[in-house]
Amino acid sequence: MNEAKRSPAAIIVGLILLAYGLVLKSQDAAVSPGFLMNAANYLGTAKEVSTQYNVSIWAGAIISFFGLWNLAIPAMKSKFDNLLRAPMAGVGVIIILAVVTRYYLEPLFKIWGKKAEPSLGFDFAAMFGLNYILLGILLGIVWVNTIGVPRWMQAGVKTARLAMKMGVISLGAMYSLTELKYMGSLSITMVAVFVLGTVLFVLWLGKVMRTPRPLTGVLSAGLGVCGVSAAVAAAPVVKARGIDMAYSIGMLLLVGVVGLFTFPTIGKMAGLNELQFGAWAGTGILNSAQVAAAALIFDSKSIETLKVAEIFNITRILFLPIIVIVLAIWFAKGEEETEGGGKINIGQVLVEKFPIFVLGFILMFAFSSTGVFTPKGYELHGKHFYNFKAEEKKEVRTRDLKKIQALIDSGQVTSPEVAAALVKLINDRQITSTAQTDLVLKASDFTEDKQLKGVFKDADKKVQATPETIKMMREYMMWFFAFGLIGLGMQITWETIRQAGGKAAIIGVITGFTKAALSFVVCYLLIRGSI
Amino acid sequence: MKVLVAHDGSELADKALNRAAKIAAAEKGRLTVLTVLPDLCTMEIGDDDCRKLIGIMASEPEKRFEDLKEELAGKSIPMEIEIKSGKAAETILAVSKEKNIDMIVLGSHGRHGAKKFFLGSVSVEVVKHASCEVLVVK
Amino acid sequence: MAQDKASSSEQKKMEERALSVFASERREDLTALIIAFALALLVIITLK
Repeated sequence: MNEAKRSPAAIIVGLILLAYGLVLKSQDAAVSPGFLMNAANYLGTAKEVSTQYNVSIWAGAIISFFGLWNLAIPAMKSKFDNLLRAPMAGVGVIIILAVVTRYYLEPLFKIWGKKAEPSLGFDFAAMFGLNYILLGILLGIVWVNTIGVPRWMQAGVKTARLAMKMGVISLGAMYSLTELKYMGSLSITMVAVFVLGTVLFVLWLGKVMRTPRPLTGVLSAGLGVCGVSAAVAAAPVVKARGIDMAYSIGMLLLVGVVGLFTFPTIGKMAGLNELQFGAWAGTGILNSAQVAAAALIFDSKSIETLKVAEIFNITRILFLPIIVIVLAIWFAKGEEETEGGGKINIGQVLVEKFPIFVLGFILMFAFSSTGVFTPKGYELHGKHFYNFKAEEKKEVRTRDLKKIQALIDSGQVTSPEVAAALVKLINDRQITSTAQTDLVLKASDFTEDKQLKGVFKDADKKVQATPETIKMMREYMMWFFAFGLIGLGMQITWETIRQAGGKAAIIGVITGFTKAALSFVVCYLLIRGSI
Repeated sequence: MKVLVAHDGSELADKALNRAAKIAAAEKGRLTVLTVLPDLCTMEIGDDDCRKLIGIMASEPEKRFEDLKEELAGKSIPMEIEIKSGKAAETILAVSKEKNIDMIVLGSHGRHGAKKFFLGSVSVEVVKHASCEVLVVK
Repeated sequence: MAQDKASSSEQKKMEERALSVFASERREDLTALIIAFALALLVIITLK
């Protein structure tokens, strides 16, 4: 408990990162590749070397700076120290783990997966989604359950929550209005049905199994809305006892972890698309952070699944106050038959208690829809960015243009607008506007020729271009999530999970499984099409 | 003589507490009752919620020992109640060291099923690593 | 313990206490919001 000790942890971690970054950079610049570059070439990460050393050098420099400071003057208890100086060492370790999993472990498993494919019959790395997100979580779990998180790392691990929130807020910039509207209406319907359904189901199950009312209340919030955080939110209204919390939280964590690891594999086996899987994870997985984790394990290369899943997750979080009020009324009725629940204006509560990070998400969306992230020459259309500036690489090949000409000549294109767009494409050799790109894509309705359909798709793809600003934001957003999820792994302890027990475990397993299975069926059968 | 008793809310722990109180009374020592709560603050819960959760978890042990405290006060045996959260064995050892405890009293096993505040072979761990006397009540 | 009759004022208090949960996250949320927007601005300034 020696708080005033000058801690060398941050400077050591910072220097390790800095050294790694500098060595990598020097090897990248050198004529003959060093050992790190050889490894990168073998692993196929040579393209990402510059991101790697930029991250390492920047993070290393910042952490070393604070590390020196911590060494010179012991960290006090001020807000500033708590926010910045205390977590640095732990933050550094998590960044190192993120670098290791992303640039070493994931590629390694990819190679192993390919190598084992002939003997196993399937690529285990692809099947189990062994990407850096999953490996990071696993590494975190193994770490905390074996060596444990030492005191100097604890403050850093706690910042994982903050990182996840920053990730979600930044994600707000990645939606278009059409996407948001579509996913929003879908999520409100599904979440409303599943949240209310689960809450009522658990209340009923609790009555049948004669569980103590406080336990039933906590469980229904946890299983119905968003896991552990909802259980804690509901605790005071249902006068939960310590033992109820221990049972519920252990069980919620257990069900969550099982979901986190099984959902992506099941989703892949069933061949769910981004929209279906995002919706399923967002409804069926209990804890907020685990929803993001499952979406990114399912697909860490694009952010589409994550986008769907987060919309569902946010919708669910917004349902929490309503459920807490419902539980307050339910509990009060059980305590005292005559007294009705106090009249609460739900609309007012929603406005007053609106979580700020969700507000941040919406603000970021509004901010991005003003076009501030879209540089000159780029246009956001649907979910893609376009750049129509004439360039040779955007041109359709001459023999493909001839095929298009043949299609027009055949008279199969009955829509004059589409025909006009195709004629313009032949003249310009590339697509020049968003209106035209829609019409060209529509042209595939007028032909059965698969190759020609491909040509239309290609012509559209060729004018798509993601601006640097968006690429940059995606990059750091993924770092936030990777960071947050390693931290998530570090908080999944056997100590907590084994608290699960008694009737709470039975209710949890029944409800968790039913909810996952039902929402899978709904997503699989009812959600059609993609985003 | 400073006696520490680890209490997890089980009947066996009550037995241990009785023994410890008797020893403390006979030796004119002082008694520390320690309850270790499991650390349930996972990432899903923020700092404030975590404090709230610990508050809920701690409210029961606090109430539980109030009567005993009064009784011992009548015999002029000082008693303090410690509620910590963390790993049971580790915390018991840390608190004993910090308070220069002369004897640790605890039940041979925690309560499984109903109240699992103590888990695994806590008593074994404590016996193995304690630097003072340990009385394991069966 | 659970038998104590919840008077309406006590219930009000309980509800308020429950709802205060949603306010307690504000500081962390605000920090996340500020950092995320600061980074977004940085991206706009450097890359656009």
